[in-house]
Amino acid sequence: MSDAIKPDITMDLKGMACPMPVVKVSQQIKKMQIGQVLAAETTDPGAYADFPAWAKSTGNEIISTDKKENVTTFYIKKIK
Amino acid sequence: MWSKVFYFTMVPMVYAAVAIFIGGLIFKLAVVLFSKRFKGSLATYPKRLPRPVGVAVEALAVPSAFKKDKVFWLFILAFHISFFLLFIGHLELIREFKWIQLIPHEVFLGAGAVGIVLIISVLYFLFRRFRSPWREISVPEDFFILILLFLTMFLGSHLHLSARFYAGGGAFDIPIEAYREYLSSLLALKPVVPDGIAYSPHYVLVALHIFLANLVLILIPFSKVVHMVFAFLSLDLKRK
Amino acid sequence: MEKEKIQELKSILKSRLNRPLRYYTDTCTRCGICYDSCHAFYGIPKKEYSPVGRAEVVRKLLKKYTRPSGFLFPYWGDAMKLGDAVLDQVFEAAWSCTGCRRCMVNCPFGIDTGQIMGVAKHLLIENGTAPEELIMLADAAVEKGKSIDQFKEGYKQVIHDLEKEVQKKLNLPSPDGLIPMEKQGADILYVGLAGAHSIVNPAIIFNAAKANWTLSFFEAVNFGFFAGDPDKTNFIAQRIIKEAMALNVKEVVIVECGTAFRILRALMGKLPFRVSSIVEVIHRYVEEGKVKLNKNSVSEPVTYHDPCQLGRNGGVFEEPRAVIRKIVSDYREMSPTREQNWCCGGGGGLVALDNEDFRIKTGKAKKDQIVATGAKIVVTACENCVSQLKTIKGGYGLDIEVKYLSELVCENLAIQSSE
Repeated sequence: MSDAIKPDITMDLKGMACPMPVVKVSQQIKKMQIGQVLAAETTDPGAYADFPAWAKSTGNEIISTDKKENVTTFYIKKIK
Repeated sequence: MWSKVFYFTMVPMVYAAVAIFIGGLIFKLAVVLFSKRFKGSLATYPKRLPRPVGVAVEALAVPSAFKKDKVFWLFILAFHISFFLLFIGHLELIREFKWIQLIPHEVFLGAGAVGIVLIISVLYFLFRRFRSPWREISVPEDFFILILLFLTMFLGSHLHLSARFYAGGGAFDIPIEAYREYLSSLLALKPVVPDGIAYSPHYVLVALHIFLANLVLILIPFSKVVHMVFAFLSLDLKRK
Repeated sequence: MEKEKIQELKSILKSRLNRPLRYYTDTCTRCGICYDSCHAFYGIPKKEYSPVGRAEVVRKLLKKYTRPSGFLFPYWGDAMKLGDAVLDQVFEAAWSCTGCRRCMVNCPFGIDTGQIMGVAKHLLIENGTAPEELIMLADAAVEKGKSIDQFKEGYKQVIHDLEKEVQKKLNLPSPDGLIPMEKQGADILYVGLAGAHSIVNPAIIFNAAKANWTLSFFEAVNFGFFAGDPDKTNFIAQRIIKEAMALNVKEVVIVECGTAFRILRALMGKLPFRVSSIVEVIHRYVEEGKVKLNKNSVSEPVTYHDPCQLGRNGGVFEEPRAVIRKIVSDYREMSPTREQNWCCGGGGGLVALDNEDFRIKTGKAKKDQIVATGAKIVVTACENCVSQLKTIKGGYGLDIEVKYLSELVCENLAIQSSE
C-alpha cells in the first residue's frame, strides 16, 4: 500500500520538459542516504518506462507506483 | 668551405625540399583518403550555392573573415593573391612563358609591389598575434612560420628590387638570365650555379633566400600551411 | 595518472582520428575569426569558451599522440601530454559546448568544433569524469531498449489515458485508437519524448490531418550522444530504427527535439525510411490544407528561436516560420537569425546538468536577442531549447512566454465540429 510509505523527499516534476524529470530525480537521489525514499510526482507517460529502466540500470528500486488521475507518483528507494 | 655550404643549399637541398614537399603532400592526402570516413553528414544550412561553387567561394573569397573583420580580410586576400602572383613570377625565373607575357612586362609581374604587399601582410599577421586574444591562442608554429615567410620574402624582394633598380650599372646586379640558367638547369637535372650568381657579391643573399624557401617548402605539408589543400576538403564536408 | 589509463586514452585519440578530424587537426590556422562566435564566450569572455580555445585543448592532445611532429617537437605546436590538469581543461571545453556549430558556419575552413568536442567527451567517459547524470540517462535508455517488452503494457495503459485529451480537443465521438501503437504498415512512426505534451499535441495534429500514424515506444532523445559515447549513441538510435523497420513505416517523424532529429536525419547514414521533424510535417499538413489554422489569432508580438540542430544543422528554417505567420499577426525575426542565430545555451546535454548559473550567464546572447525583438511569446521547436529558454526567462526575469510550435498550432487549430 502506497499510503503506508512515508517518503523522505517529495519532488514535483509535473509538466517538465525533456529530460528534466529523470535528471532531477538522479540529482536528488545522489544527495540522499541509502535506504531513504524519494517520491517523484509526474505527469509524463514516458515515466512508466523511463523510471523503471532508470532504476534498473542505476540499481535503485521503485517500491511502489501510485496513480491519481493523470498524476503518477513513483516511490524510489535508494539502494546503493 | 662557404662555397660548399652555398652549393649544398642551392642544389642538393633544393631537390630534397621539393621532394619532401611533393612527397609530403601526396603522403598527407593518402593518409586522409585512406582514413575512416564519417558515416553521416556534417552539413550546415542553408546551402545557398551549388557544392563546388560554394566551396570555391568560401575558400577563395573568405566571406567569414569579411563578415568579422574587414581589415583582416583585406590582408588575407592581399596575401593570398600575392602569393599566387609570386608563384607565377617565379615560373618566369625558370624560363619565359608566353601566357604570362600576355600582359607584356619585365620580370616580375608586379614590378616589386607583390613582394612589398606580402611583407606588409605577413607583418600584419605577425603583429596581430602579439595582441590579445590572438596572443593567447597562438602557438610557436604560428610565429615561426610567419617569421620564416617574412625573412624569405624580405630577401627575395630585396634581390628583385636591387636587380630592377640598379640594372645596367649596379655592381649588385644579378641578371635575370643567371636565374633562368640556374633554375632551368635544376629542372633539367643538370644543376649548375652560374657565374652570374656565384661571383656576385649577392650570392650569400641568394643562397639564404633559397635556404629559407627550402624550409618553407619542407614545412608546407607538415604544418598548418597545409590548409592550402585541406581548406577545400574540409569546406567540402560542410556541404556534403 | 597511471600508465594503463594513458594508454586507453591514447587509443581513443587514435580511434577517433577519422577523415574530418584529420582535416580539423591540421587545417586550423588559429586565425581567431571564430573567437567570439560562441554564445558561451559572449556570456563569459574567456579564451576557454572560444571555439578555438576549446578545440585547441583536444588538438594539442591529438598532436602529441597521433602526429610525429608532436612527438619529435612538442613545442612546435604546443602539444600537450595527458594528465589530470589537461583532462580538467578537456572537461571545461566539452561541457561548456552545446554543439550548436555556430562557429563552424563562421570558420573559414568550416571546422566542426562539435566533432572535436565529441573526442573530448569520449576521453572523459574513459577517464571516468564524464557527467554522471548523462551516463545514467544513457544507461537507462539502453536498458529500456533491451527490456522494452516489460514496459510495453504499462506504457500503453497511460497512453490510452491521453487519448481522452485528444478526443476532447477535437470533439471526437470516441477516444479509442486516437494514439495508435504498434500499427503495422503505418505511414508514419512518430517518436515523442517522456512528457505528455510531446505526445498529446502531435496526436491532435495527426488526428486533425487524418494521418495513418503510430506512436513509438521509445523516446527520441539520445543521451548516449549527449554523454559522448558512440556505442550507446548507436544502440539508442538503433532502437528506433529497428522499430521503424519492424513496423515497415515510410517515414519517421521526430518530436520537437533537435538532437534526436539530427542524429536520425544526418548522423546514422542511409536509412530505409524518410526522417522528418514534426515541424516539417505540420508545415506539410498546413500547406496541403489537411490542418487548418485560425488566421491572425495571436496578436501579441511573437518571435521564433531556431533550434541549432533543426536550423543551422538540419536546414529547417522556413517551415516553422511559415506556420507561425499563419497564426500570428505580429511576427518578429531575431537578429542575427537563421544560421547566425545564437544558441540558447542548453544544447548538447548541458540542460541536463547541474549548472544553472553557467547557463544563465551563457544564455545572455539569447536574452539580448529576445529582448531586442520585444516579443512576448518565444516559439521554438526543441525541448532542450524550451527548458533553457525558461531558465533564461527566470534568470533575467523576462516577461515572456515560451511555447512549443506544436503547442501554438494546437491552441490555434480551426476545428470542424464532428460530423
